[in-house]
Amino acid sequence: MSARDQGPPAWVQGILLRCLPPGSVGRSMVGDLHEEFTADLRTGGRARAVLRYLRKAVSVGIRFAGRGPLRPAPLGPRGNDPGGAMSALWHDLRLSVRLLVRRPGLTLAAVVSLGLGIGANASIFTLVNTILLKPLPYPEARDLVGVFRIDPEVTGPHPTPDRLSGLFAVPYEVHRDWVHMSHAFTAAGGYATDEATLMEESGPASVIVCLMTSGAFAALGIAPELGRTFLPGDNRVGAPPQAVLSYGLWQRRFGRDRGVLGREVNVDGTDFTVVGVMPWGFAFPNAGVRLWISFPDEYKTSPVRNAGYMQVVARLAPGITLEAAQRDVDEVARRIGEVHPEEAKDGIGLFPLKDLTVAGRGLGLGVLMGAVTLVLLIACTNIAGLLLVRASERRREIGVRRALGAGGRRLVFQQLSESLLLSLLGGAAGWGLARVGMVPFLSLMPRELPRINEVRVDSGLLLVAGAFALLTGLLTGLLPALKTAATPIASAVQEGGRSLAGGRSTSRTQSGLVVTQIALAFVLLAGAGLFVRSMMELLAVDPGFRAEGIVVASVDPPADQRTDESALVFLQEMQERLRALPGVEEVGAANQMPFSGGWSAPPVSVETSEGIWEGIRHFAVVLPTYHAAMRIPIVEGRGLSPDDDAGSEPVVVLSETLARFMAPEGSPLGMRVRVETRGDSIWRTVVGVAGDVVYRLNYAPQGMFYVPVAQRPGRVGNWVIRTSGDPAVLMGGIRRVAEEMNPGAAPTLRVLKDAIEDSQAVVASRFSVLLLGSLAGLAGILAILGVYGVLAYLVQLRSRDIGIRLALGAESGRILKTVLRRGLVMVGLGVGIGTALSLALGRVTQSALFGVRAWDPLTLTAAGLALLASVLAASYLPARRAATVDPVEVLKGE
Amino acid sequence: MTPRFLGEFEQIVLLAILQSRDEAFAVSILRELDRRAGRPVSRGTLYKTLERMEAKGLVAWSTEDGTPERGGHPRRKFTVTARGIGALEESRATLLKMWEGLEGAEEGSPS
Repeated sequence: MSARDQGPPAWVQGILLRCLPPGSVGRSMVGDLHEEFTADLRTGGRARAVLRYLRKAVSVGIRFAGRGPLRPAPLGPRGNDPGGAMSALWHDLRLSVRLLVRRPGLTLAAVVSLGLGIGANASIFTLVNTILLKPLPYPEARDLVGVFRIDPEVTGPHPTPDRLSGLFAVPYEVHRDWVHMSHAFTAAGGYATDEATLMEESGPASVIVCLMTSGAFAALGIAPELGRTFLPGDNRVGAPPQAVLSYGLWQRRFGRDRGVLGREVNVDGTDFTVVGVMPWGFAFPNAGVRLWISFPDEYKTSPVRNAGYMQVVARLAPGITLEAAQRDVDEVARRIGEVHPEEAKDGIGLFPLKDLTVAGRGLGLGVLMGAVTLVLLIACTNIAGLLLVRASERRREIGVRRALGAGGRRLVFQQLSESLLLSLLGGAAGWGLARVGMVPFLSLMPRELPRINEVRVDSGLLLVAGAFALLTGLLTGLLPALKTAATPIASAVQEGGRSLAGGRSTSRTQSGLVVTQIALAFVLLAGAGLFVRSMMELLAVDPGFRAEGIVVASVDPPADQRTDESALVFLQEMQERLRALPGVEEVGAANQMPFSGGWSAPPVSVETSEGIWEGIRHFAVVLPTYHAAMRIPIVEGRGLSPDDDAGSEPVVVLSETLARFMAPEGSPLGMRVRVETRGDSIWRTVVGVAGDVVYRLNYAPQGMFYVPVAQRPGRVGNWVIRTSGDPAVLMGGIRRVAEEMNPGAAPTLRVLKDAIEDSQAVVASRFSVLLLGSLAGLAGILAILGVYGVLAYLVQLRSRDIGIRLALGAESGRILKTVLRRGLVMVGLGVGIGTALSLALGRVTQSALFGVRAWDPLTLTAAGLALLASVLAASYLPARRAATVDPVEVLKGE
Repeated sequence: MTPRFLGEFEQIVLLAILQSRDEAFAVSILRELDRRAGRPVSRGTLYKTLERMEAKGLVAWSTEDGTPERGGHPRRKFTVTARGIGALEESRATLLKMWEGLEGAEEGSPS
């Protein structure tokens, strides 16, 4: 056993020696503990001995640190400690510790409220920092840009990343032009995510895959964990299908077997050779992607230029600025326009990849950060109020110390050291809370939040919590400290700490703090109310179809039945088999559906009353029964019918919005439309108009085309099955049919109603409601405590006055009213200021709200009334105490 | 001024010092308290009580040099002062006086 192992922990001993009385008294106590430690060590293990030692050390230390006689630091003539600054600091801290230990209830309340505030702030800040501030996890991430096709008619000449949202993607052919013709990039390549079926040992599983070119991997610049990424040769037509696995898939499926290279994985019926594994944490373009596969030849050979399914990422060449690169791609766009005149109007836009990744998220996170900051501010004002009371209780002591020559600076420091100590304790509590709560908190976050997988609960959190603690320490301590330093010597000493003058000024400052608190709490409460209403509005949106009783299943034909003819046969058979299930009323299908991901918007030409219009509009390829199954009403003309087949006249059904666009006054029936996808550019005649549907709750209905699948064969994989009964009961039967029809696929089934309630907009707003609601609740409680505290203090301070008034015959009812009025004034002022603040903030919050205005009078009034009621309730206790003051008791005390 | 009556804990501690005789160090006093009075006492409480009784002149202490087991720290040996003994006796006499004629009463006091 080494010498170090024989003794108790030296640092504990060091602390003890500092807490205990100086000289042999303290040292003998340390010796006693040491002796017992030695005995414990002999009879038991070291761990046990250390534990017992710690317990005893705490018992002794607390007694002497907390209950000992208060010994303010010895002061020199000008308040300078003869022992030096460090010793003075030590003394101040010891004094502060004792003051805190003496009032455990108060200390606990302060630490808990600060802990909550700091914990919430540290967590949200970590989130904001990771998502919005930190560079993307790629080398030289600032040089990464997303390249987009800009259609000035739709996006305007200067679109923001928020508005792109993947709508203006390009086909392989156009991406290839960009990559070859531009000079501003060291590497550039395309990618597209897709849902696919991965053959697992346990059967087919639905996974997210990302189609990638070698250029995209090269631009990102992340070396694989194992093997390689794609090579330029892999982009050639005829190159074998290859796959790069995510670390997670490698671990789960292959047990991190390094021999995985060269093996094959089956995705959507095609075998891909594994050539590499990406390192842990590589999540491009999002964390849902399980593997990256090379683009199949059909993409590379397609001549289509006006579709859009892939996005392009590029790395700026060294020394090239974004502006210089933009000039370069402008030139590329011009040259493309010369060769393909129909694209001459299109531009190419560059956006920093980070802006694209977090596009549209800044606001929500900003609102969140603002909300937690408000809570922390409220907690700070609460603590400042408490310290203020404490400082005014110590007026006399401070006056005496000043009279004895203590400098103002020294007294300020003493006060600050107390608040800093409190806030550091609060910071520790907050850090603990954040550490424990972060993981469950993250699981609450909307899944679509980008970069959420990058959030780490690490030492950074400690740093953030520490910074917040220091800040709150200064915030809470400064006001009481300045008041302390300004204490006039003579009056404080003469008053004997009992006078009302100091107390009154204190209670005025304190009332100011409480008004601030109420104002801040009001902002939060009103905000929470607005988000609740916003969510109610969202859920009340009429989607244009009846979601009740619908099951949505995604089932594609097997890989060997995807030719136009066999796909049609598959659709018909599938429809018949689903219809045969008991309880099924109608079965429809579409290539894209509301509430199931993005929508493709191909370029279209439209006959209008003023000539041919060209632009981008949504369209859906459907089975003729689609509208009936969805209960989308046909408002004009006729719906699609089984007779609209390859042999008959090409037809199209419009949505109302589009019908109004094409024929603002008359009827669009008989007008013509041309949809340009996959070389399909025949003119179709409008035969009917269907009701508008929304495809996301917070988006206005879009102009839409419905084309019968028989006239435009293609992948129509979203099935709509309407039942008269409980849709959940039908799931088993649908799954069985799907699995029989395509044994290799993993059908995904959902109840449409659930899909709507789980849709991004609803989830995001539910999350805001949950978080803002609990923060507002917390703020409300803190504000109520604040009001209670200030009134209780006031009543205690004025109990003598009140006693005399009662003795002189004042009615206790009037006393009650006086105190209640005081509460009322505070809440009135607070709500007034809060309303002004809310209105000022309204401009920011408005864009995060749906269907409700940021200055919605109903919500603001409700928030005000809620605060008013709770604050009055909080005022009642002290008011009653004032009214029941016993004049005899009070005056006896004089 | 001699205190008229000692607190219960003070009495027990003074008696524990007397019982420990030549070994009246803090550690042995604690052991004695635990063994005889069946009262595990926290260190902090004991030290505080001893400090208080020293201030009242009921106990005194002398320092002995430290040993390796104590990490070289000194140890204090406590003795009960004449004043302490007087206070103990007075407390005992008071208690006895109060008990006079009550022996056995605790078993069957009429209720």
